[in-house]
Amino acid sequence: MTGGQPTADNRRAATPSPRGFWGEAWARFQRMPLAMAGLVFVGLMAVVALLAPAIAGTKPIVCRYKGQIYFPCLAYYGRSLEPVVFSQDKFRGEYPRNLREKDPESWAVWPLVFQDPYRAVRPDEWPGRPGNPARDQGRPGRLNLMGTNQNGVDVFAKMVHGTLVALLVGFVSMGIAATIGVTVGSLAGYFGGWVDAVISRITEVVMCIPTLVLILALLAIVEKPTIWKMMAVLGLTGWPGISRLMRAELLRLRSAEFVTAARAVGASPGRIILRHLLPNALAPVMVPITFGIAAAILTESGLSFLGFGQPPPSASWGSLLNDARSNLKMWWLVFFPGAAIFLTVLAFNLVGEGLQKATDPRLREARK
Amino acid sequence: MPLLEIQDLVTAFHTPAGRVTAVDGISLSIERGMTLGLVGESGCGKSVTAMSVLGLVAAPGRVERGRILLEIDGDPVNLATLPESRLRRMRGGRVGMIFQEPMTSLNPVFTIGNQVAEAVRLHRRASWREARARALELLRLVRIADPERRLDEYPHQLSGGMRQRIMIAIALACEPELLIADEPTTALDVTIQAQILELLADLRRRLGMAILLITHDLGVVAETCDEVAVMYAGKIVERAPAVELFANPLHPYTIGLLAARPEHRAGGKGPLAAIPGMVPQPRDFPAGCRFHPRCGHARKPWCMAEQPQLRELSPGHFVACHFAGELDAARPTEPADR
Repeated sequence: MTGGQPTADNRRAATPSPRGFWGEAWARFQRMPLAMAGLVFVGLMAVVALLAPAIAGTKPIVCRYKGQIYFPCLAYYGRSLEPVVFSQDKFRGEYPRNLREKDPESWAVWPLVFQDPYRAVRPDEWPGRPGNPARDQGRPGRLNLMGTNQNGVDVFAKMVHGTLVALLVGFVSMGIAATIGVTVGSLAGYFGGWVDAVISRITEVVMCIPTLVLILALLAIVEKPTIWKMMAVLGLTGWPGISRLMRAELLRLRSAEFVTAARAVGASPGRIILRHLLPNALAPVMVPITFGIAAAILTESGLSFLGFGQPPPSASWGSLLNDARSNLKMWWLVFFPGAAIFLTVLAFNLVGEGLQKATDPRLREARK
Repeated sequence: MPLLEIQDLVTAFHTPAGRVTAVDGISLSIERGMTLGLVGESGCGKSVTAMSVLGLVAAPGRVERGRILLEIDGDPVNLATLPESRLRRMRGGRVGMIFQEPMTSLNPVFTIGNQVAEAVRLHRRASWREARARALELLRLVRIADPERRLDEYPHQLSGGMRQRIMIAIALACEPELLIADEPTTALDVTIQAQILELLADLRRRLGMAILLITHDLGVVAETCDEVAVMYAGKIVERAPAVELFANPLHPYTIGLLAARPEHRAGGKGPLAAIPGMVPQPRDFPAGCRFHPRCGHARKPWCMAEQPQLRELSPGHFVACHFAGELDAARPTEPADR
């Protein structure tokens, strides 16, 4: 697929490929091993994040209890999804023993690793199994793949569930930022004049707000800081870069011949922006969006590390690093989340860089 | 009444450096089914005239004076004062337009079929399927080989001539009564030029539409136009039926242009004749006749002081020159100093 087939490549150059712009870009992207590695890593993370409750947890994926089928593991996505029967029957989150004692007929499919990201597993919770060790006793081992923290909470479970937090922070905050940035930037770029002047000044004002300080200030005011509020702040302050790029891109494209041609067949401004300009301007803004995801993940980790993240029962990578501050001898509290943050940010940056190269108009011209 | 009548059109650009008048009081008219050639050197205001007709002049330019009357169902409608929303229905609906650069006039991220179908759907109620069927019909109309396959191809897969055919197909999507062709063959090589011109002439006959053909190539004009208007520095200097103009040019600029054609050299050899000097910038048009600094016949004080008006010298033949018809007597001398 990479270098070894010059003939195949020549043939492709001789007869222009029938693929569209994104098809071309994807073909070029595939020829970049580092970028592909980054993309595969991001893909793996997404799988881990979505399947987190099935990979590590103390609630059955599926179980049959008193003649009914339940999916208790969904409770990890949202507490309200936990079936009411189990709290009525006083399970207190300890499924294995309770299931066996309260309904001998019951059966359950368990997550791959029986560990919980929010609490330590107690002795005999799973009949015959010891509880989690706490403090610096919780080295990585058979029961705790990546060790435990001071309170005996399993690090592996936290890491797995933290993947979802990291990706959510990255995608949701950049989703907000991209929506605002693309809209605002294209309006400024297309209409120009006073619209551009007003939007550009607002953009500059927002750019001057230091994100981290704003978040700290907000967390001081807000009663219950959650990652959602953090994402909102990251999104609402992260759009100026995207907006400015979008504006520049539309300024350039606005005078393109095909835009005049579209106007000459009677297309309206809205149609021209949405159909003719955005698809052409999207490639360049995909790059800062990808880098922005990495930056957002890093910011969230940083805040959690400083202790300004979601309050304690949280499964963010940064909060693990925060745990490590009190006892540096527990190296596993530094190594695993640190490596995960590093690799994730690296992966997103590699993907962004690959995207940049794959959609570079100069390279595109060269292939014609 | 004519299909399109432009009366005293003035289009100016308000730049930080001052007001620049690109089109300065021109009047034109095109009858149904006829082809009018608008000829002149680069920068004389041909394209701005064309853009003014459809209200496509980009800021900071705007139409400042004059009327652009398009006959719609027997009534003249002034496009110059039409609100944008109604003007949009004219564009592509009643008046189609094609451009100089077929390489960049198509959106690179959509397929041909998609873009032709969009033009259809902009003015007609049609499902995507119907629009696509119409697109196929249009590609056949502009004689594109293997149209089914081309519908799903992207612009970069087509040659320049093909793309210009696609642009023509898009312009014809809603069967316009007037087609404005802004240097449609300038970016193409000679053999393709001939094909495109032949296609335009054929389409005009079959669809009965009028064409406003903008070009700097007198050869193109001779082959395709019924009437010709010669523009110089924002003004029309001569207007006549094509046959008459080529047989009996009256304005020194037209005479110069005709003499500058390559095929006009004696025996097809020797250096090309040229008009000395360059088209003045709109910012500093000379006083009097705008052509006088380059004119071999310019005489003081008339040419330097007074702008000549268009006069009808013979039926249908208009010229804006103080000495039109008397030029043979005055032998060409060196261009006047001022």
